[in-house]
Amino acid sequence: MYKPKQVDLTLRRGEVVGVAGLLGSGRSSLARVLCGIEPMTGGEIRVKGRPVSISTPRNAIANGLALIPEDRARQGFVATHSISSNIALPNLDRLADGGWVSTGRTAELADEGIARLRIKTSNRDNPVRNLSGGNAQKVVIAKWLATGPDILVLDEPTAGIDIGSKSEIVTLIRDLARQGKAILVLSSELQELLAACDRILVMSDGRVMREIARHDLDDPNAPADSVDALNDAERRLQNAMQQARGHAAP
Amino acid sequence: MSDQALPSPRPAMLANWRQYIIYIGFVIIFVVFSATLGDRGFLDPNNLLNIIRQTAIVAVMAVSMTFVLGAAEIDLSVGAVAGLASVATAMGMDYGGIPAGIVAGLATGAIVGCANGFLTTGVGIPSFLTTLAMMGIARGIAMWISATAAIPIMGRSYSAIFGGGNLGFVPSLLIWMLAFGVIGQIVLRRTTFGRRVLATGGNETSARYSGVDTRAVKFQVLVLSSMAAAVAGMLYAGRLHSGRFQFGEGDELSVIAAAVLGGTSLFGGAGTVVGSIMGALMIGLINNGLILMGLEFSQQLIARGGIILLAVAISQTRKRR
Repeated sequence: MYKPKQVDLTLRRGEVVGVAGLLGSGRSSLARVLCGIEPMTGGEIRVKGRPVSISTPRNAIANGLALIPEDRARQGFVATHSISSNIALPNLDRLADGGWVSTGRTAELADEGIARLRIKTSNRDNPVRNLSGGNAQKVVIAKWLATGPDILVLDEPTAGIDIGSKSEIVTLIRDLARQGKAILVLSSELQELLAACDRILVMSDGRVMREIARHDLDDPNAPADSVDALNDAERRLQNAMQQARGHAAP
Repeated sequence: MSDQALPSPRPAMLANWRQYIIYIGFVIIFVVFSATLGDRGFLDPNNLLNIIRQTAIVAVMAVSMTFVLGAAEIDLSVGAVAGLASVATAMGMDYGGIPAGIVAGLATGAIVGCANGFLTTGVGIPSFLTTLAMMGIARGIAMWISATAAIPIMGRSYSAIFGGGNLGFVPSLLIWMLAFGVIGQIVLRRTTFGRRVLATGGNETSARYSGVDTRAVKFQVLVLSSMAAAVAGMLYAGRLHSGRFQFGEGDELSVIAAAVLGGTSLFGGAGTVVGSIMGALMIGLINNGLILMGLEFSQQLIARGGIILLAVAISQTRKRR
């Protein structure tokens, strides 16, 4: 029941699409299928118009896809290894000539990531387990940005991290979209989806039940950007999710 | 949750002193033995070279065990594979000279390694059980095909290369150990394969999400381990001019102890080849010292076990926090 069954979605360059859905809606599973972790049982994925077969994570990387997974301690990083090794891991083929890893380029890539995401650490050889939740998540994002993806899939990107890092990550998502990346954000935090996304898909029971443009959730008469307006939008999205669940249930 | 990175409160060298416990321990034991056993010939160059001769074969297997443990797997069949490979090599040489012997020995390692790898990654039996069963099977086959008899190796040239001879005053076993150590260290630290091995052992799920084919990695380390065990068996054959099913008996435990003493984690993700070799040398040093002290075999076993426990306890406490 947690598997996605019928999902039809299009991601465009420069666009952030959100996926909202309750637990068991098939949300995370969708992310894993897209990035080659779980097998696809049917259907088709196209990247830049060309059909691709994504059967392994390595394959997904080669096709410009990157997954920032939901459970970062289990799926995102090797806690006992350094920031540098973690950032290098999905990029090993690019950092090596004939299997020989360049220490210089590995260090360079790590320092780039630390600077770009403003990871707070004394040096790149610190093990990730010494970092706070927010900084650890930044390491995960850094290692995937280093693969140079065109399509980013972020599953619960701000779960369990401090407020400061949360807003930094939402800002980063918008920046990346502006740079022309296509982004899919899966989240149970509706405020985050409302802040980051251009469109929001509502999933229930493995299906996309509704697609809502972000601006359709705003009240045209209310002043934009006020706290009330955001709360109103959240309430409308919540209603849409409840309805979707009602339709999906037999 | 604070957003500050937690810098290590102590200077790095001090904070990581446990990482160097193997080197510190090695020096301490060496100094103690030199002081107390100097008059019994401990420092005699021949005695020191003998320690290396007795340790090198275990050290060769400890190099590959570093990869196996680093990937969070284990290989209990190395000792039995060494025995089987020594028999296969001796029989191969009977049949077609040195080339046939080498091929037979290496093929033994390749076949057992592929079987271990397939059963562990393909069928999904934990490597602990796969290699435990393989230990019995390999030892049994070695006994069966040799009819439990030693198969002599007559020619001198084989022994000269594989473990018996000297290059000047340098034992060829030392050269084998150094070659395995240098290559192993470089492969583990500097190649994509080594990085993938440690990532697989450190966090298999995360490694898989990051594009590492973790099943292939596990298969490869198990093949590597059996191949190194086969080489170890060929060295036994050369050193003792025969193939015997008993060669390598109990070596799996010395090999694992050597790697763990050298700082390799039994839970995967961390380890150094240099440390494993130092671990093997330390065990050899202890064995030698206890013999020179004139302890009985029973007392040696007890003392050796105690020293290893102490060293492992000190080097592993850091990981439990």
